[in-house]
Amino acid sequence: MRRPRMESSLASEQTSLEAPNIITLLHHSFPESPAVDFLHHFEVPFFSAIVILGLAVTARMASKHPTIVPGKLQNAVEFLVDSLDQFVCGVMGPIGRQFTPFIGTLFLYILSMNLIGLVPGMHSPTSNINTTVALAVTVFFYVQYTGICKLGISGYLDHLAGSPRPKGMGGYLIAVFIAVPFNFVLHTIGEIIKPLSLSVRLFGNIFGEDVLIGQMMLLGILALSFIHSPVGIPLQFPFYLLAILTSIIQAVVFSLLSVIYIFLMLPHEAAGHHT
Amino acid sequence: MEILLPQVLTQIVGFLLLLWLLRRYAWGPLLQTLEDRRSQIANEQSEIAASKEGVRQLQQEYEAKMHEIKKEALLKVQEAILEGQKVAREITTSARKEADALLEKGKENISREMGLAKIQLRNEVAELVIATAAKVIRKELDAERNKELVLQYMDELN
Repeated sequence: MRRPRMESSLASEQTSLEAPNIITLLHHSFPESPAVDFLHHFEVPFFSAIVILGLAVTARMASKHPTIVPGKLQNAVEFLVDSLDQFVCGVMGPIGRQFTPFIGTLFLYILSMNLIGLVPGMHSPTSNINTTVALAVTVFFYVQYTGICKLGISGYLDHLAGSPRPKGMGGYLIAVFIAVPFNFVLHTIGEIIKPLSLSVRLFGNIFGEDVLIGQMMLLGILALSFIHSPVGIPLQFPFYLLAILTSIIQAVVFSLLSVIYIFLMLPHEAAGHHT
Repeated sequence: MEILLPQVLTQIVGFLLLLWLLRRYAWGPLLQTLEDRRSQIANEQSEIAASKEGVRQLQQEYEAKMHEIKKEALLKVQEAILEGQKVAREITTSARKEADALLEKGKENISREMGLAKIQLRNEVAELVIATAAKVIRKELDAERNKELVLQYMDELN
């Protein structure tokens, strides 16, 4: 029982810096309710679920009866799909088409989670490290899975061992005893660092922007508190515009780096054909 | 800030669920639709190009035929002009002949009339001469005999 309370207090400490959302308000109003407490504990997955539901419903509605001459919704979704396909194929070449669903989903999910925090009463799940770590872990395993599928187990291990290798008997000995173990450790650390950097970058940016908006909102309220005004100065408004830009940039950065990590894991011939 | 494994796992499951849903309902059908549309547009464009080529050929044939027709029409016009000129010449010739014939006929008529007039004039002159001579010689002569004499005299004069 002690651990959830501690987690709850940590969560409260974090969310107190940001603007309140419907769940924190509910928790504030009904602190003893077990349902509200459960929601408060899974606040971040709850908002993620809203995003998932929204994206899935939109996708289903757009593709329910796909036609050659598209309607408005199908047109908009097709534009997104085609843009993301071109984005992935632009980096990886024609081979990228098979990775478009993963990268496209990642982009739309992150972008939606970043932007949902700008809606009053909502909260950006990406301003929580657990969400970004989950996404980074998924990318990590997807990259390793792609590497094993495309290179085979031996090829994958060979990739981790690094290249080029020194030639000749002396070179072989150097490779076996120095270069390969060193590269193997280095590459393994690199593979682990990549998702860590992805998650921390996204979390830091979105959390920072949400805290900034929350604090500016608080400052706007405090600025007019001496006349007991029910409405504060909307000092957070300029940062909303900045947050929209940051949300898009961070989604693009996360997706682009994921594409590059996958691309680096592909056989060199495939990469060479493109470049 | 603490990493909570249940939340991380929940988020991973949520993302995988979204990936499955979007792959099933968005990426698959919509990418297929885009591909279908792309190939349809490419086919239609090649059909349009083929049609354009057909139209261009038809236009060339049409222009060639038009040129031929114009040429034929020009020839026919020229033939008609020549024919017209020929007919005009024939008409002129025939008119000239008719005019000449009429002129000849006129001349004949005139000479005949002149002959008749001369005869009549001669008779009248003879009568006048007789009458005048009768008055001069105051001698009556037989009219018929006198006339004969005068005419004879005039013939001799001629």
